[in-house]
Amino acid sequence: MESVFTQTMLVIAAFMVVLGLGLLLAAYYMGRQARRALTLMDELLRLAQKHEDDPLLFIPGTLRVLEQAGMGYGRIELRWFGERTQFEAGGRAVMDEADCLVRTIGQVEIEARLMMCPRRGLKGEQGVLYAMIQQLWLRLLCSQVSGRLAQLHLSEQRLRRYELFYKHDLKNLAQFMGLLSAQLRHDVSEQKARALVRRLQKVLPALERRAGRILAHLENKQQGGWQGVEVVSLAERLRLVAYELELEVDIEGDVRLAVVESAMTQGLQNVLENFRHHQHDRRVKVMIRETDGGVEMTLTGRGMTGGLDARRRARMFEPFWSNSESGMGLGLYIARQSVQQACGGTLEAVVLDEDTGQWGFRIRCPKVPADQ
Amino acid sequence: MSERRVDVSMRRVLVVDDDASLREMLALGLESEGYAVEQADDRETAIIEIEKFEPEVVVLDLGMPPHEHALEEGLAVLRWLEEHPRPLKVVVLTGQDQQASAYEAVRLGTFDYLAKPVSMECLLQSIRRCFLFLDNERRMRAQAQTQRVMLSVPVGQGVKPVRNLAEEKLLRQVLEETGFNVHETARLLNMNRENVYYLLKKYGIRRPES
Repeated sequence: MESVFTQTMLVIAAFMVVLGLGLLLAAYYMGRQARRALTLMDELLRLAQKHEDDPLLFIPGTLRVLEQAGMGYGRIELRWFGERTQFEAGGRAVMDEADCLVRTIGQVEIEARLMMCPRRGLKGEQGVLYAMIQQLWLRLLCSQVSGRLAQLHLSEQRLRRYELFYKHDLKNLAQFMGLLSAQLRHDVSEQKARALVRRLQKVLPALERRAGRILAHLENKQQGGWQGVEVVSLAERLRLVAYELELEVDIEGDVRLAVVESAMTQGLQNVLENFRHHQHDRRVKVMIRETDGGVEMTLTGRGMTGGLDARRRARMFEPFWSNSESGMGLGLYIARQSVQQACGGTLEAVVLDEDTGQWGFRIRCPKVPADQ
Repeated sequence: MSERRVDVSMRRVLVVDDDASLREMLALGLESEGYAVEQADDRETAIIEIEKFEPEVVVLDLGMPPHEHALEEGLAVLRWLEEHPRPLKVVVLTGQDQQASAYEAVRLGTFDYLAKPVSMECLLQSIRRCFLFLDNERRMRAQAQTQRVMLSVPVGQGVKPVRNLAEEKLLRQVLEETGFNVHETARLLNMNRENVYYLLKKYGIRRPES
């Protein structure tokens, strides 16, 4: 009887030991998973801070963390101010597509289309951990995109500052007129008249263009759109704008094209200003040719080598972003809109020679039938 | 902007503006008043012309390339003049936002501030005032051995920073005047050469690259 009791007690004791060990192991495992979750969350937050809440850097920089958390495959298509960039990660066997998260964040100017699938075999606490990290990642991305869109909204105020540029032009014009009238107020000797006329001869073409620009801007504002379709020689137009910006242009080919003249001039000016700020030798090589679809103009410079990745391309057309000290970072953003308004065309940054990595800007205007 | 021999008998004015038409018209107006005029269209050229042409008055626009629509470039010229003081006066002539630009210009020691558009007569009056002050400052130096030093000093931190700033400014002025000749600087300031070297180190002043 006593031995039966002893045996029973031994069995219970062994069971209790096994149970205790099991509980210890479970607690250890849960602790480890919790620490892992904490580490991954910390990493996400650290990267968000490091990349200054910039989705263009945050997305590629954090896909690795999602993979560590259990993502089998992820694809994010990002529309960034008219440029499309795609990021992919994973490639492991994934669960049923129905388990994938498909979502669109943002609108028009900045929009991210996501597809994120968990790894096959991810269940229980691992599935919970993945869902948790994915949620945090999504929240961070949402807040970054909303932040950027809010910035864009606020930038209307800065665009109003851009309006001031024209007022600045206007002030210079008024100053010029005032000085000229002061010269003419007194009796002008022949010698003085000669000096005055010589100087006027020198500066009037530039002055006329400046006045034309102010007028075009004001008219455009008044009429709420670009006016005045004209048939222009693209090479000639480009030479005029380049002259004003003190750039040397080497132009090959020419096409006469019906465009909204003021919009095309504005577009070309903004693109060339970019060369003025970045090209030390102030030389631009231009090729204009007719294609099956319409007219194509490429503009490149000596320093534009080393290729062009998707991220850099996306950055270029982002408003208020500039990789130099120059300007406000609005030039190419506005240029793209101007080219669209001028001829329904496009402006892109493209690699022109894959071997050398030479890149440049390409303007394309579609062919318009003669009766239009 | 062009190679030209400096006519020392004429009073020298440098016009700095990126707008070629305006620059030419200002130059013409000033030349017809008998001033020798040189022109510059950006910060870099302005500094080169200040060193080469040695103007007595600089008519300075603030918005120049590559920042045509901001104050940076013009203010950079004023900052350069703070570090390389010389006997000249600056008249800021700008179309920039007056509230912000006037404060910055005054802070950096500009002599006069005019907002575009301004009449030629008003500009000429300002330039004449510049010469009046320059001439009398030169007279003070020659007759009373007194150097005029303009300082922007912190208030409420005792007199030590004021003394240091005055010392640094005076040293910079005399160094510029003597073409960074330490021996001559020490003589003019009635100091030992070792003390001049000590001050150069103290204020981080380096010999300009030739």
